[in-house]
Order: sequence, then C-alpha cells, then structure tokens
Amino acid sequence: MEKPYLTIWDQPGGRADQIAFVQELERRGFPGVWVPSRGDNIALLLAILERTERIMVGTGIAHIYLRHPQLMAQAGSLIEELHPGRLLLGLGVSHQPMHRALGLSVGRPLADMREYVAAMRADGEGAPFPRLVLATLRRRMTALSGEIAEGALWANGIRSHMATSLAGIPAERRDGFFVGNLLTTAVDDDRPAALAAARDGLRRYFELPYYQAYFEEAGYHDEVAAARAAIAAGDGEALLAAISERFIADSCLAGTASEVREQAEAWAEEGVTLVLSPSLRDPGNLERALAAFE
Amino acid sequence: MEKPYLRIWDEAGTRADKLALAQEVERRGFPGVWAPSRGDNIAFLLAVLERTERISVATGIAHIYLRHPQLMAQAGSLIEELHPGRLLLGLGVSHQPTHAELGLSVGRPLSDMREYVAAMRADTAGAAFPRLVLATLRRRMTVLATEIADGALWANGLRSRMATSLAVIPPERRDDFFVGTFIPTAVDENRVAALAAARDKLFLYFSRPYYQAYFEEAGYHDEVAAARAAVAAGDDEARLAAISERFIADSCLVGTPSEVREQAEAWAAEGVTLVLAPAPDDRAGIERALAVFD
Repeated sequence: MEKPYLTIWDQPGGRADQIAFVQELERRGFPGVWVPSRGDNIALLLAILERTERIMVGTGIAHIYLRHPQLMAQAGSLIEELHPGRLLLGLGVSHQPMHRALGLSVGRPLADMREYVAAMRADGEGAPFPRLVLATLRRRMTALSGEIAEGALWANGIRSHMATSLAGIPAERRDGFFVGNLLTTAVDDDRPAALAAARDGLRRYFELPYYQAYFEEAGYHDEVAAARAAIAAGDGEALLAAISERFIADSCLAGTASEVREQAEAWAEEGVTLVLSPSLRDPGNLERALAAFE
Repeated sequence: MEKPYLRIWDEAGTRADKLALAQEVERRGFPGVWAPSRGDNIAFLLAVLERTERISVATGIAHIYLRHPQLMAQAGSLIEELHPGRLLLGLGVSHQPTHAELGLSVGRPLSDMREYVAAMRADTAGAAFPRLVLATLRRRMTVLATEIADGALWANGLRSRMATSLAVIPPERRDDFFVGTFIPTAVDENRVAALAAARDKLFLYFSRPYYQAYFEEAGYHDEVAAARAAVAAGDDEARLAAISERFIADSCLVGTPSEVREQAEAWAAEGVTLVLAPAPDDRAGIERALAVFD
C-alpha cells in the first residue's frame, strides 16, 4: 500500500523541529508533506526542500488573497527552478470567516481564481512553473481545476461523493491529474477515543457555510441541520453530537490501525491521494498514524 | 575599508547562478546581499541563507502592497527563527507607476506603512522577528523609520543630502540604527563609458515623481526641470542629458577603481552602508565592482 502524505503546520518557535521531522519522514519513506495556509507556507516548504533530497511538498493552501498573483507566480517559479518537480502549488480562496478575520475584501471565488491563475501564468510565461492544484469542495471549482490547473485538492472530502465530484473533470485530463484529500486522522485502539478525536477535528468545518453546503450536496442533510441548530443555540456538545459515525467513516481515517489501513485502501480505490491530518489533541496520535502505514 | 553589500536579482532562469554568486560573495568576505522587490525576494533570500553560512541578506524592498502583513510578518519570523540575525527586512511602499502596472489601489504611504508594521508586530508578538528597515527618500518616512523600525534604506540617495536626512535620527538611536543606500555602480577605466552606465541606471528614477521631489529637495532643480521637460517631450536622449556629472558624482560610484574607492570612503564618512548596484546582467561589471573592494 502506498504511504500517504502528511500535513504539517508552520509553528513559530518550532520551525527547526518541524523541518527535522520532515527529514525523518523522508528517511521513513513517506512521499511528502502539505502545509496549510498559516504563516508563509511557501517559504517553509522552500526551507524543507533545501534540507531534503526527494520528498514532495505542497501548499494546502496558498491563500490567493494574501499574495499578489505576480508574487505567487514568482515564488512558484523560484521553487520549480531550484527543485524541479517537487512542488505542488495548491491555491485556495479560503473562507468568509477567515476573510473577515484578515480584513480582506474579496470577489466571487470562481471568477477571482480564474483571473488569479491567468495573471500568474501570464507573469510566469517562459519560466519554470510548478504544477497548480486548486483547493475545491464543490462541482464548479472542481470543473475549474480541470480547466486551468493540474490537480484538485479537498480538505475533509467525502469518500462516497468523490466519484460524483471527479466526474466534473474531463476524461482526457484525468491522466496525471492530481487528486488529493486532507483528512482528519485519529488512530487509537480505543475506538470511542478515535471517534471523539475525529469529531474534534471536524467540528470547525461544520461551522463554515461552504462546507455545510458541500456536506449537504453529499447527502448529509440531517448532520448539517443538527449542526446549524446547535450553532444557533451556542451548544458545543450538540455540534459534536451532530457529526454522525457514518459521516466520520466517510470523511476521516479513524479507528484502530488495521481499520485505518482498510479505510485508506477504500480511498485509494477512488483514485484519491491521502494527506493525513492527524489530530494533535493526543500527542501519541501522530506517531500511531505514521506507524499504521509502515 | 569596510566591504560593501551587493545587490543581486531574482531572475527566472538564472537563480542557481545568482545563488552561486551569493556564495562567492561570502567566500570573498563581503558582508551580504540585498534583493530588490522583483519576484519573491524573501523566498529567494531564504535560499541564499540556506546555502551560505555567514553573510547577511536583506530585501530592498519587500513591497508591502503585494503581501498581507500577516504573511510578511510570518515570513520574517520564519527566517529569523531559522537564521537568527541574518535578515534585514526592508519594507517599502514602492512607487505610483509600479502600483498602476500591478493593478494595486493604495492609500497614503506614511499611514499605510505605519499600519502595516503595527499589524506585522501584532501578529508576531512573542515570536522571532527580524530587524525592520524602511525604504525612504524624504524626511517624513525617515522619521517614521526611527519611530517604528530599526533602520532606513535609500536607493539612489544623494551623499550631499545625507547629513540633512539623517539629522532626524535621535542621537540615542544612531548606534544601532541601520542606514544604507543602493548605489548605482559603474567601474570602468573608460570614464565616458562609466558615466553613460550611471545615466542608464538613473534614467528611470528621473521620471518618478517622488524621486524628482527628493532630487529637488537636495538642490538639483535644474536637472529635474530638464528631465521633466524631456519626459513631457518623450525625448529619452534629453532625459539622459539632464543628468549632470555633478549629480552622478553625488549619487553613484562611478569611474576607475581608485576613484570609486575614494567615493566609497566619502560615503562611509557620512555613516552610510553601501549596497553596490552594478547593472544586473553584466557579470563583468559586477566583477569589476567587487574587485575594487577585494
């Protein structure tokens, strides 16, 4: 079974340790790491590439509203030139609550992304340029990725809905097209503990309107309705309870090591590359998640 | 005599060569390199740091309107954490023609810069943070640099004007306050060729309103008036001719190696650290400039 990728975070105060950890991942044969939008994730990934030999790195996501497209294009070009083929530059529009927190005024996600990528490609023309991956959940952004990028990346994608989602990518583009998913990972012989950790990882996504719409599109109407009611009531316990076991099984790797391996195989059958996002609530979980694939 | 810094460019297709040049600069005992705003200069400088041991690196400038302040803060924090004390993060507002080209809508330079630096510092409170340098020409930005930063950087600063410019720095801050200038550098036994190269480099700046105001403030009324007339008439030859020898002697390192050394000593007497800016694509010109200080 192919080893999965791993999510790591840019952690002020712990950056040298994070890079050393990635060197260890390389030694242990994992294919690479993805870094969420926190911090300057492109710079962190460049430092990782400078200190490793083989592994791939990806941004999941590089937030398009935080960088001018020329800057993004040149950052990607720089890395592609120094470390050819090792970067997947995942671009995303992020979410409304984050835009508010960052004081950003944004346009319409699809039009903004189309324009941004066009500006990047215009600026990077003739120069080394990395593969682009669009962060997506629903049909139209997925279709756009099939049109203007070399891959699509979900976070908390729903396995039972992937075939429907991927149908939006033209068949002639599927060869070599990257399809990935960052998913909450909780490996524990104590099954209730694993489920609790998964719920903990999922809860903030149930609070985001665009995720709610995606979960509904995938058929999880009851879960979303219960989550909305819990949020309206300010009831954190009810929000966690809204996340059903069926939903967790369809969106996470959660359970014992052998259960998690089975779940990962089911994802592989859908043609999806997995990026483990281990719950860090239990410090032992990260190592158990890696060990499940060794 | 102290060796100067060297300006190097991030340029697609030549990045490995530029990194090798930075390594050579280190071997030859120069203190470091500065990278202008073109490309993702912060990522480029991180690559320089990863491949060298000792030299300092600096952005001149990191363009504040191309990055969200949190992104800038975290990029600076990352580098400070991985390579303590080796980055001077030079911030600048750039110029109106560049804003227009990049499709940026900007506010007022001074208040934007003040707000931006405050946002950076708020985002990184308690974390590693680099020294900040503000790109300046005139009095108010220099005053702001003394208030909120650790240094001030000119590009094409005028030597005869520096004492006036630096008078706004409180005496108690002068010891640890960085003062530098990018200086067009043309070393050539053929004095006519050297002057022509200097005019080529200054040509662009004589069309920029903010530079025109600075040059006038420093007493170069005739030069600016002639340049404005030439710009209005679209006469490039006249614009080059507007740049007097007196102006060049006051703003460039130009001439034979011994002339250039003398000029550099006069700058050092003003307390200004020099960043040599030879024509970026002229490897022989770069070598002649470095050789003066070997």
